[in-house]
Amino acid sequence: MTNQDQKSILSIENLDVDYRVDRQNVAALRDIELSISKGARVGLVGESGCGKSTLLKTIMGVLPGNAEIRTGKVALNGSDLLSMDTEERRKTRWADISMITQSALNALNPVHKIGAQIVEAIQAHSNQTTIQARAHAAKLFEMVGVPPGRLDDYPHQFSGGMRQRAVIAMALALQPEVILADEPTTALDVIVQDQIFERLFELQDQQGFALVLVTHDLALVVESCETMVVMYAGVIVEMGPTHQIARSPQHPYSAGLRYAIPDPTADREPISIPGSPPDLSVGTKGCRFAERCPLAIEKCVEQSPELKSTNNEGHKVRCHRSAEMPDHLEQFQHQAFWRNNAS
Amino acid sequence: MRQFLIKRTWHALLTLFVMSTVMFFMFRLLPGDPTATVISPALYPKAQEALKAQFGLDKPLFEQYLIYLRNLVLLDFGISFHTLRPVAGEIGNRLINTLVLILPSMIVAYAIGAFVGAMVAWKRGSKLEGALVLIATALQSTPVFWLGMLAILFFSIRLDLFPVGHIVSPGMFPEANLQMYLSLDFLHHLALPFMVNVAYQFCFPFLLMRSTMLSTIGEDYIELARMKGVPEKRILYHHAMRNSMLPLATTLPMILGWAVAGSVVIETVFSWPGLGLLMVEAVGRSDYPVVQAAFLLIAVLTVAGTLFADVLYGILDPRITYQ
Repeated sequence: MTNQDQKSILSIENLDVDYRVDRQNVAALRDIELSISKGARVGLVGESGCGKSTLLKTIMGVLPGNAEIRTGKVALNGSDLLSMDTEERRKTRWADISMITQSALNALNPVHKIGAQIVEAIQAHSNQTTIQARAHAAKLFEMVGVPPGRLDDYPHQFSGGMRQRAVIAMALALQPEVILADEPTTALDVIVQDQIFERLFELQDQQGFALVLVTHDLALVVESCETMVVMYAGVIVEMGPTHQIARSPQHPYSAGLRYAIPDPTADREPISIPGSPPDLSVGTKGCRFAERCPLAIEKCVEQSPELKSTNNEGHKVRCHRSAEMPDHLEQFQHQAFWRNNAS
Repeated sequence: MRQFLIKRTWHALLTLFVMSTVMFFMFRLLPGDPTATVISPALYPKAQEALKAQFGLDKPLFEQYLIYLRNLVLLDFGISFHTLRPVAGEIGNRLINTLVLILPSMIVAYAIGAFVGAMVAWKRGSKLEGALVLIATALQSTPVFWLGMLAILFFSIRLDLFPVGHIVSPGMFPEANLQMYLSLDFLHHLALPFMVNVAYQFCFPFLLMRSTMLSTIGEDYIELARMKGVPEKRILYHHAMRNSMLPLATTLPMILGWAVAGSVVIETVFSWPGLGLLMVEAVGRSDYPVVQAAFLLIAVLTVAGTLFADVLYGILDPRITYQ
């Protein structure tokens, strides 16, 4: 553990975030514990509404006004981002952690030239002149594969793929140590998706930033990320080396996600997890996945499980019955098992 | 861009042509003989005929129309039935009086309205925001003549701070000239109608800017700018306000034409000798040439404003292309 802590660039400790909705508190994130090592590629998966975006917004410090960080620490290189004042925080944004947003079209201001928007990011953190910053932006464009001549185009003049590349160029502008990518290619067709990820991973190998890839695409994570984190209803249910989780998931939800992907080599139908995510109102007890879980027992409804290590390779799981999971893996591959046993 | 301008100018001219034609026949269809006010029935019939011929009213309607069109092209608006002086001169003076009142008050109202609207939206949920929205909504639905009368009643009569009306004190300036517009007496007369117009015209840009800002603030590019570490002030001006200006900028030129037309009310209340008051007087006297010219002028202002707005929008929003 000590060894890992030394390499860790971004670490989050027991983070709780609430949203205030209609005079009621909703537990958006609970007990988040995450450590990202230098240069790591971490896949963060989970269904819509599980808190992925809230987690990214907490790290970037752009939570909406009705959100409240109750407890926790988000430390970058050992210094806590959450206790910084506004100006200190502003300086760390983009320079140390940048983000590739979900929709490049909406993320770019339609009335300003793309080059100017990159220059703006550079100049917010340095004394570079506009000419220097532009030269730098041109290099970034080359790196992501967009002709530098198009710096003076407006966002609407770019194709979807080029816009996404431009947003990646923007994220690289200040050579941050961590880049958060929030479903960076959802709006694009698969071929362009592949090209963009290929380029992004190449750039990561060259520059050595840590990449947190948030996605619905479990196959992509399995293929490309060495570490993966599975979130469900605001908590991390399982995290660890991707190959371990993919081969033998220790949490029933991870198993559900795993077997929801069609596998052309295996002779089985993809399953779907019955039910829908639970009510997140504050004050509920027990495991949040219990009502959809085929393995749920009395204890799961009564007592919420802790995130515990299963081995010394950093594999952790939040489940009372994780020890029995290997025996049930075969059953998890069949839809009938999910349907019949969900409580 | 050039082709677009040529096309739009052509459209604008066509609009004005249709407008002037409709106006010509509309006035001729109105009941009442306009010549009755100028040509005394007591005159000999021969003299009456001669006077009619002088104004060209003895010719068939269609011929009158052709003459009217020819004169329009030559910018000859004829002679006022009432003062027997050229219409162009009559209107010119009055237009200046209207513009010195309307233009500055509109510019001030828009500048304040847009800025305050943007600021209260930026600091969403303040008490000031609630109060201002309430006041603006109330003011906007207040008839401006009533607002003007209240202002006169309170500031002029009760407090005796401002004159009750008119552009200068009687007898101070027999001729309207630059000296008059620069005099303190003129400014003293200008103050109250100016403030009433600002108060009234402030509401629309304020409410529009506020609601546009509120939706702009929720845009992803504002969040991205914040994530980029762009200072808050720059986000406010360079991203949020810049983008929220678009709908407002388009309305501004159109509203200018509309405001000149709307000056009828405020000028009547304050006895301000502008174009609006002239129109009211001219309609009362069935002074066709003056009314026609005044209406046409307002039409020109509105059409020109719209054309200007189209061009301006293209400059402000790069997504608009001219084809």
